[in-house]
Amino acid sequence: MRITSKGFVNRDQEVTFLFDSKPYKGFVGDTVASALLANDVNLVGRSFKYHRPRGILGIGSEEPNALISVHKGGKIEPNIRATTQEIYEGLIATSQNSWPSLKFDALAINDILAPFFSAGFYYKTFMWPPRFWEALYEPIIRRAAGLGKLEAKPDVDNYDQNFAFCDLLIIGGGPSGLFSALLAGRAGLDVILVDENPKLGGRLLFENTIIDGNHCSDWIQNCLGELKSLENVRLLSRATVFGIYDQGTFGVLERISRHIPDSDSDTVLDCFWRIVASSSILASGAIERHIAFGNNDRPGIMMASALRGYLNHYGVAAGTSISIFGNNDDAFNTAYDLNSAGVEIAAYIDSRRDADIQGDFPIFRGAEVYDTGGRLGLEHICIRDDKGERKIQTDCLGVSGGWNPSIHLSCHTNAKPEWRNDIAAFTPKRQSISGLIVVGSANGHFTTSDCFQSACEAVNELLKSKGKKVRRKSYPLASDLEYNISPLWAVEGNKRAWLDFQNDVITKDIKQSVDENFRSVEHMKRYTTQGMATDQGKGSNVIAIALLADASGETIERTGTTTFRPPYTPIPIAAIGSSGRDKGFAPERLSTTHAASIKLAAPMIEAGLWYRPSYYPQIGENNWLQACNREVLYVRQSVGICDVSTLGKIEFHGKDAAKFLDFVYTNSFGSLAVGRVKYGLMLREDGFIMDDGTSARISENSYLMTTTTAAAGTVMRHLDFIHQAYCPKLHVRFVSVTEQWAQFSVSGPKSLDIISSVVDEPFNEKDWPFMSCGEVKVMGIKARLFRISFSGELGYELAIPSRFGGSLFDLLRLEAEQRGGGVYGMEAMNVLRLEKGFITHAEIDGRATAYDVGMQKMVSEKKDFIGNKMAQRPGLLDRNRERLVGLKTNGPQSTLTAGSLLYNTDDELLADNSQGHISSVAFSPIENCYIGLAFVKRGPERWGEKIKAVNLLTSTDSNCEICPPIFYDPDGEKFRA
Amino acid sequence: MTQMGKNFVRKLLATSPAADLCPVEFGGLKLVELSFPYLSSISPYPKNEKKCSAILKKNHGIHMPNVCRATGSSHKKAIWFGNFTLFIGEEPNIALSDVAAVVDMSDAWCSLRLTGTHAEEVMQRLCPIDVRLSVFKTGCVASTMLGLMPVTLHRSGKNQFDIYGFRSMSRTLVVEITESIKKTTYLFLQK
Repeated sequence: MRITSKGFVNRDQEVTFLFDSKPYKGFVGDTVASALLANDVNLVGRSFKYHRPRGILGIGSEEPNALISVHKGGKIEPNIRATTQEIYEGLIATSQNSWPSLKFDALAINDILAPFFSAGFYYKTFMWPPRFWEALYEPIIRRAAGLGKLEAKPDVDNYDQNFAFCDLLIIGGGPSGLFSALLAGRAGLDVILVDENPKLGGRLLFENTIIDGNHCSDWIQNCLGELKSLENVRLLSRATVFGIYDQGTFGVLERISRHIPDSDSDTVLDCFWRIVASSSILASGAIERHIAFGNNDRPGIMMASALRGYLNHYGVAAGTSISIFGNNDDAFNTAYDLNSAGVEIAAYIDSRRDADIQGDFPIFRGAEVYDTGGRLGLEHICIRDDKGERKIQTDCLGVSGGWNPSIHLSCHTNAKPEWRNDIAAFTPKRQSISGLIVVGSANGHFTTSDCFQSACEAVNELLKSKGKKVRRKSYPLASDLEYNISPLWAVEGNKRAWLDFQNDVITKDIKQSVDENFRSVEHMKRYTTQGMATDQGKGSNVIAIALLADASGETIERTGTTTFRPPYTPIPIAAIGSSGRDKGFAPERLSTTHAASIKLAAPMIEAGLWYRPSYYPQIGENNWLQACNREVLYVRQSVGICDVSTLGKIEFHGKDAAKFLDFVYTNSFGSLAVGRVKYGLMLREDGFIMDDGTSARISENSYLMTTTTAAAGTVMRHLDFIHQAYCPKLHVRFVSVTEQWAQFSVSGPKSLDIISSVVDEPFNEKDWPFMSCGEVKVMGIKARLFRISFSGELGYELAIPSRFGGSLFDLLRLEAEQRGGGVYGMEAMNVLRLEKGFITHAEIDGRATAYDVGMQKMVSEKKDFIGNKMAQRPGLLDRNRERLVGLKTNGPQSTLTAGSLLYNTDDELLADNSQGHISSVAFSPIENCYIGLAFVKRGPERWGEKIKAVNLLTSTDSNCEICPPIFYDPDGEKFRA
Repeated sequence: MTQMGKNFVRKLLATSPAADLCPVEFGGLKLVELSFPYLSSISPYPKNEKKCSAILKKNHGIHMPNVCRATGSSHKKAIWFGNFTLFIGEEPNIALSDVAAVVDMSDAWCSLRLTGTHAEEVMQRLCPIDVRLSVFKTGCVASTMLGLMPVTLHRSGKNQFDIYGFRSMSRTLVVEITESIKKTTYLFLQK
């Protein structure tokens, strides 16, 4: 119910929302949890394993119980904590893990069968019979398991990502964080303050603490006012630092629009930040922990500090007759605030006999709550003290077992925290993360004054380390009381007492874990699943560790904690991967003819990052093969034009350029005449082929190397490494000019006609013998011409500055069409090169040597070069190696598939019998059958043999003949013509 | 080719890398394509760095830039590009070829300029380097990534960045920056 005199929600702005299809009213500033409590609703879900009724337990991101699904824009997002989801007009939320309804859940039968579902039950029970596991057990368990349901639809939300850098990142916007930001901001540091809540203020938002004589809300307002006026301070609310990574990098998720209705398609849901900070302050506060007692999970049983927060910040009392059970002085603040607001306190139960507390309500010192009652909500509690046992009627119980510093982030790089007996809690070790200082209650300072002091000391330390002027130590004075605690982890009793509410782990599970010798904290965690739910055991870990220590006869310190890992709270993977969605997955590299190819309806295929035309369809053609065959015949019979701009192009300059090329190629380039081109083979350092291509000597001290499209980047890196590591003193420089030049292959018997017609000067064929190169002009534009061929026909490659690429392509296409030819794509190019036996990276796939592809004669014995020695290893020159051959089928009906394995015709299809594999295949319109390149054991010695190609994926095979790898014009008369 | 009357006049037409993609204007932010008559890479040969700088100064009035820096003015400048210096604006003097590898790059790069009050935020959304004015001052240059693309970033003004990416990646480059402009604008409007 609402308490009219309390809270900071905007009561002038009423909001209507739906929960389980029923409309409720709240105010702007409410969360789903506070609004439901204001409407006297506390039953919000069912538990994971036993399907027990569950209510709201906490007030922040640590909430284990109140998980809801939020419906927005036609999609459903599960496992949203009702304690962090702000309400907005029209919000639709539903409860989870119940069927057919929240109040009557059929799977609540699990609660009755609870003795069968103890920890380890699954591991033992579903072992037999083994075949039942996949057929029966797993499907049933999977159907019953899980919290919430993921939608099967693709995520259409809009996410964002951002990078940020700062001098100081402050994590947490409570008193310690705000005060740190104020001091660091005043000192001129570039500060980013990140807080997960909508409003900055942290725990102070929920308290009535007096700071420097005023209510803490005034201090927050003044502090924020000054921070907002500082240009060097950036405040990031609704943002969670979910992980700390090496070198001062922090992962942050900012929730941009989860608190507002859908507006338009530009709405950004979340933003994934990567913040790099030279220093950081962790002011993440502390989380109140529970006490394990019988039936401590009923709706209506909440954290004492949460009750106080709902009252002070939201103006909500979570019950009409409230009891408090605690073991520390802080719990008393809740009773005091509620009582002051006029809420009835049914009982204040303090486990400490010497608790120094006074109040105008029943107080039980040295007492414990050992059981509770009520089916869908709390109706009574059972307590005992020296005077005996009694039942107290109450509809809400606030519990405080003390506070756990929120140390998670400080342990993300594998540091272990240390146990402090005085506050019965783990705190971070100093310098657990380089550059990170932990302040405030995250470091065990549980009074506001101590928080201010620790923040002041931390900032001064930081300023000193940065050589900045350190100010006098001065901080506000706060009114809150000392934190006195006497540890109480669990209350003895025979009823089930919950530790981990989200994974339904009870105290008995810990004992059973120890009994079965899972005594290490890491083993206990996995055996019981304690701390493995979405809340990562924020409220239950320390109690579980204490009970494990007790059961195993160890100290808490020696028992230790499990490993803290990111993310601190659940984050959508979609936000992290937002930059990689759709087109963001990889940049598109488009050649200058891309638009023209699209206009000609060419389907584009990816070659690395490049997009290249597969084929150019024409009216009347029913499939790609018809188009491909037509394009092949253009080249064989007339002329074909192909954009080959994507091949890597690297220019070398300097008097040692030839020496450098000699060092990277297996064959010699120093003797190459100016104006000539040579094919080169490049090895990796291990002696296998890295890449191949032609290099042209364009002047005495300049070369132009071409690489394959796919390996252009790799070759450039390889060259850079060789140059820097092995020959940095060489007088050579090289640079990629791939982007500078658009290059076109003009191939076929009529290619000479086209070249003659497009170059400005009279073109004399004899001046351009095979493998020559030089400068020409095309309509006044300087261009480069190469007499080379990748098709086996008379061919030229014409390169022009890229700005003219599209225009030259149009011209060449028209010229070709006038001669009965046209443009051709990758499919035809593949056929042409296969017919000629030219290799690509399908053949030089990282496993092939020069010997394997029949190019051992290109390996010079007169010079040293990269890969030389390693290529001479006997194993790489073994005649039994799989070596390059050609394959052809017996007629067009018999097909081949690249990747097929090869077997002798009479052999069984066993791995040991494999004779090799097919690297490339195509249908050859010239041969009128399928042809391929393959690697076969002793390949060149087996020409004429029959062999069987087996595709194990499709269980098909075909017989073919091993033949020389050159199918067309083996003597090269055509391209040399 | 262009058509005049019934006859085709054979003439090659030039297309800039970001033709039809720029300018982009949104919420006070503007992305335009820069057009320069010449771009050349200059890579001094070993022990020729000072000579190269002197020749550049003598013939073009600007020195070779230091690492991560640029020299010159908006129309004529030399920008550190990692393995080489990109000389922009004039045809490099022939004397430079004696001391450096000089290669024409006029068609290799897509040169973009982003201007606007929140230009820094737009770039910070895309690049994993610190582009705060206090660190990445006017005149600073970085070889970095923009999304998944290698780029050279030059801060040419307080609220101005020049971005040099591969010509072939122009479309993705403009799309990514445009997206960032829109998101930046959206978030500033919302806040």
